Amino acid sequence: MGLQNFKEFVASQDFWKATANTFLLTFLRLLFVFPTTLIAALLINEVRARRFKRVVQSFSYLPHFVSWIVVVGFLDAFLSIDGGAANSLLGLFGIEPIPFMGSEEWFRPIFILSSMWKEVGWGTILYLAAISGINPALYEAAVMDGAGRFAQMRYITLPSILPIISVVLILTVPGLLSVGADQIYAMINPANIGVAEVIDTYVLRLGIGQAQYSQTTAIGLVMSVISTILLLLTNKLSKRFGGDGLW
Amino acid sequence: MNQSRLGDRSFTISNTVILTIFAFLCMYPFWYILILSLNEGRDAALGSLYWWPRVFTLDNYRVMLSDPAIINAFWVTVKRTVIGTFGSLIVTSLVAFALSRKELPGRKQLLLLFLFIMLFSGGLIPFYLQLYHLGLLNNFWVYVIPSLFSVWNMFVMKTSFQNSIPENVIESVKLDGGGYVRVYFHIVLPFSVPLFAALGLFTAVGLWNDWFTGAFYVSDLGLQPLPTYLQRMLSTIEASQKISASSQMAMMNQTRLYNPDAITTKSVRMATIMITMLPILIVYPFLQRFFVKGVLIGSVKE
Repeated sequence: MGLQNFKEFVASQDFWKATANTFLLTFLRLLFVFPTTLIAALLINEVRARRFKRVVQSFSYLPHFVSWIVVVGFLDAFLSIDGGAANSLLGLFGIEPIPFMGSEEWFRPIFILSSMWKEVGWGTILYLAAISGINPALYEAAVMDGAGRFAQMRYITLPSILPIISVVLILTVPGLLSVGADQIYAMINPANIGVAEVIDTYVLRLGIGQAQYSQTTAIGLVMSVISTILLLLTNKLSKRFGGDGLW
Repeated sequence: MNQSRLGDRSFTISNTVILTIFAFLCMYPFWYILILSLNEGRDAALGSLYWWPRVFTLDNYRVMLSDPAIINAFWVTVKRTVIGTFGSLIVTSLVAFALSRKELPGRKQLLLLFLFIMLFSGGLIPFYLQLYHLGLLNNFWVYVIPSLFSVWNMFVMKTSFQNSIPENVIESVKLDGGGYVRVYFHIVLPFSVPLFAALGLFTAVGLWNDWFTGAFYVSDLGLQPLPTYLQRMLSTIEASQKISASSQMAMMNQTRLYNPDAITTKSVRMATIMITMLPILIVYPFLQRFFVKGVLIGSVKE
């Protein structure tokens, strides 16, 4: 007893591999999803044609509302070797079918693209709401000074929504330890498990699958503590650097 | 002046092009699944299907709907979504109402406790063991009871109750001899309909889409919800073989009615995906503005 359970998982190689995969995947997700969302919001904000703007918004929010399991169904259909659109397209260029879903090297791109597809559009809502609160007089003044659309975006829109940007960033930090079991579990198969196994799925497999309750509880506890500390820390840092905190 | 107008135009044009592509990419997967589900399976396996069904058929849907398991899964999902959404709104708003009252004894300590559970979770396995000890594993109520209370929604509601319900209205009900129950039903509920609609929608979508509970906390196939049914179809090899065996059984029984060549496991799967997301696709256009409002309510700081 005592710290035995903690010692056990710290000594496990699979655990460290899952940890490394988790950090890599959540970091890549942040790296791609966060800036894309911001850029998408800035571009949508610049649309003057109301109808077009509404259509783009409606279409881009929709993926947020489907289950991850449905997204994996999409991927499975689109990327399959037997008639999937991706492979038929590649076939036009004489490329042999690629088993995307069952390969280690394609797992990360698929993970990132599906995360982007599902969350980029939805993520723009917060930014767009913040942008709509910017005082129009600022833009008028900028136009008087001869600022073009890009300059307005760079010198007015972006600095004005900085507080929201920092809040969004803070909120993603505790998530760095968790990829989300429901996103990844359905994509894992024996062929890609080396890069796809993350802490969440490792805990599921070991805990519920093999009834290793004590050890997986220890892992869960450590993760919870670390992510809470991370949240408190980033909140503090963000405030120190003049950004907005969560509270 | 002229030059800046030119720059403006090229900006507008390139922006429109980029966002058109963006919107297209968001929608195309839905369209792709739709045409695959309406196309004969054997033919779809030849590939090169992008825009329209090549050999149109409704057999995928017929076969899928002739499987009693999926009809059952559909009703399980409907039931859990309806009960879960209303239950969650009631329980969460009652807690929020109590905590919004300054005269509640121990309010500060309770708020700290709720803040703690919002930030810190015990983890998946303790939760699983807890469900086991409560006898909720393999029980329909595992879909409902654990999601009856949402801390996040509770804080959103509490803030809204405090800010938008005038204190003197509540006082006047109390002066008339009404208790808290009366205040809740006659003041808080009517005042908060838009808030409840927005939060209820998110809860409903979350419950509808949840495959996790059904996959890990329930083993009785008669209790699995639609997304879990789909997950079993998609993920592990053995399970998908089982499902494909059962749908092949269904196919064999139906051969007199349907062209057996038309159907593959994959094409039936496409129809299943369509059915799983259909309710959301149907309500989305009408309720979109509530969703947008809902996310903004949630993001307002106290």
